[in-house]
Amino acid sequence: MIDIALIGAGLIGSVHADSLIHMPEVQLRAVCDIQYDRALQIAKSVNAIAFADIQSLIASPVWENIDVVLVCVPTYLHEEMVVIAATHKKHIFCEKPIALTEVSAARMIEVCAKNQVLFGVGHVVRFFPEYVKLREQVVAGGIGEIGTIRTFRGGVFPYGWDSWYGDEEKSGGILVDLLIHDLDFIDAMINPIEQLFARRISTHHRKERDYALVVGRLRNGAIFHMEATWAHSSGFRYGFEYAGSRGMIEFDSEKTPPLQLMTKPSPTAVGHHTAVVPESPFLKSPYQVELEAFLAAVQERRVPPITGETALRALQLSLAARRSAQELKPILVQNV
Amino acid sequence: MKLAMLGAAHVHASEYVQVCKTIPDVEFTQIYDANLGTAKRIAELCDATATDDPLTCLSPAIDAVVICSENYRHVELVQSAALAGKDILCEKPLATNVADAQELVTLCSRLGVQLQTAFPCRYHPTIARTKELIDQGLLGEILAVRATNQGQIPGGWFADPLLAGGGALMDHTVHVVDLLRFLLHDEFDSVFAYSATRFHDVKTEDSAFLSMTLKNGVIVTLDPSWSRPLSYPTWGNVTMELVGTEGTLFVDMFSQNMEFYSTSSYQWLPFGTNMNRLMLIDFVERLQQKQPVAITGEDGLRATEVVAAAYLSVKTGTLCSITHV
Repeated sequence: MIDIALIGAGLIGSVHADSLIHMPEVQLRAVCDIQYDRALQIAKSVNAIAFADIQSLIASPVWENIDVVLVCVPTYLHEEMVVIAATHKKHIFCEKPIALTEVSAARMIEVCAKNQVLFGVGHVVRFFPEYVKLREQVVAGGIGEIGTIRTFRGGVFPYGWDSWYGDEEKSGGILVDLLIHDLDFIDAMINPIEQLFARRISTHHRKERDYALVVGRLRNGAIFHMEATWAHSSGFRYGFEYAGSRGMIEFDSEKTPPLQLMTKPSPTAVGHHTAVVPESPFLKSPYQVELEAFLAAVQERRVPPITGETALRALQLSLAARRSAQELKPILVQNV
Repeated sequence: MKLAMLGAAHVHASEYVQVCKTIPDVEFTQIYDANLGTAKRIAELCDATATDDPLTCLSPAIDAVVICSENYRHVELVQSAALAGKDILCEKPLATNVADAQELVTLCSRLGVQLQTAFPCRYHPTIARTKELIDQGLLGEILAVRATNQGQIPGGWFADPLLAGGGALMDHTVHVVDLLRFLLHDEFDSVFAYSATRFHDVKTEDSAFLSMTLKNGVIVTLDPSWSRPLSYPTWGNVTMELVGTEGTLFVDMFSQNMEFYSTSSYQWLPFGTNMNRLMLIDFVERLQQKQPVAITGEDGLRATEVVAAAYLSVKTGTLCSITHV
């Protein structure tokens, strides 16, 4: 049995808590969030104990038996939580992006190594079945030599707790928080990114909105285009287009959900607008597959599928994109 | 109104002569191409006379000319037509470099002949509606545009560096550039571009991404790549996502299609408005009414400036500013 503590009971924290319910041999024992109500809500449903801060969790008897800590707090708090967990010899699964700066990420990697705990980072896109399938096709040569890659990702502006996404100092902004998904996937799973050039809407337009367009070149000579948006008025969508010398693969998350739930508008709804809620169910959610892969590594005491070093590389790409948008020049990001 | 086609090598030549048959009182009577076979093929579509002598198209019987030659011949053909006093509709790109485009604009202006660049997209009802929505302020202040004009490789001379002056970037950049100048009432300011030859065995680039800004700071990317495979259900697309402070507008100009599944293939059957027809009607009407043409040689020149700066960026690997001559 692996005993787990969840630090951060926000959106992604509750997703992970849901996944844990479906996993035998794994038990969520403690949920910690400064919004105590949220911690309590998750804890109640799985018979875990809720805590309002990390210190009371550490002081509690449940802490000693915790094997793994899931760090799901806002990005600017990652390092603090990882350091605490690592020095208490807990294995750590930390949400993406690993950190806000390279030095912070390096310190996190170092503290985990020094304390001999396993450290995994949640780049979940790699576990989404459409991306797994895409990579299979590309690797098998299904589209020949890749020529152009286009990706898009985004939706409404995420507010989150304390509006932390809107604070560049807390989330890193759209290029660090959102675009890192596509940068990581292409760089690690398709072909290394060699250089990029980014444009982003200007600072005074970024209040509750962000938008960036990034172009670049891979080591194999293919060129890529990425869109990241927090400017939509509703929803969230992502997709890609991989065109090669022998074919092309297109995917749009809006086109594939097998379920579209349309419910009667509430009598109070303005203009009788009814929301359509799409759903794309799987036997196991990509988040569950991701957690299982990490926990399997913990059980077997081997290197997790996505290491701190890999996550650091993804962060470096995001930071390069941010720098490119600031300095308006292409940036070489060749991994040496 | 009697039209002559001066150069018929462009893929739009057959489309232009055919739609003209549906426009009252307008006809193509002479089709010139240096390759007589090409001229004949097009002439047969509209009961015109085929010739390999350009002077035939410049006789007093001809009211205006439509230039559909290979890109590199636009200069000499526009010059001959202008010197003969003919008004001109020239296929895009107006020229393959800024100096040539500038020379054509100056010449036509000096000789008092009208020069229109063939940017049919402006006539599409979807674009008219897009302009209306923007002008009504529904999107607020426009901040960013993500655009594509991807297609299948046109084949033939389009990928010949001498005849076309470039590849996908030369072929597919100018439409969206012109549309954004038209829609946003602004000029392009800077461009950074990547290009590559990845899909086909050709001597030009077949793929590119352009990252640009307008003078007022709007950020724009454009994908002009010949990246659609042969199995793609249509030739390509023109799409734009316009991101504004008050809303986002997705534009897909050629989405008005039915899906057609035959026993062995899949295609799209377009039912949208024929924008080439609207362009030819407008061109002819304005000439008849002695009004200035709607889309000028200068518009063609502005688009060529962006293309030239994009090629310079590819060559130097730097951000290039777009200068207006």
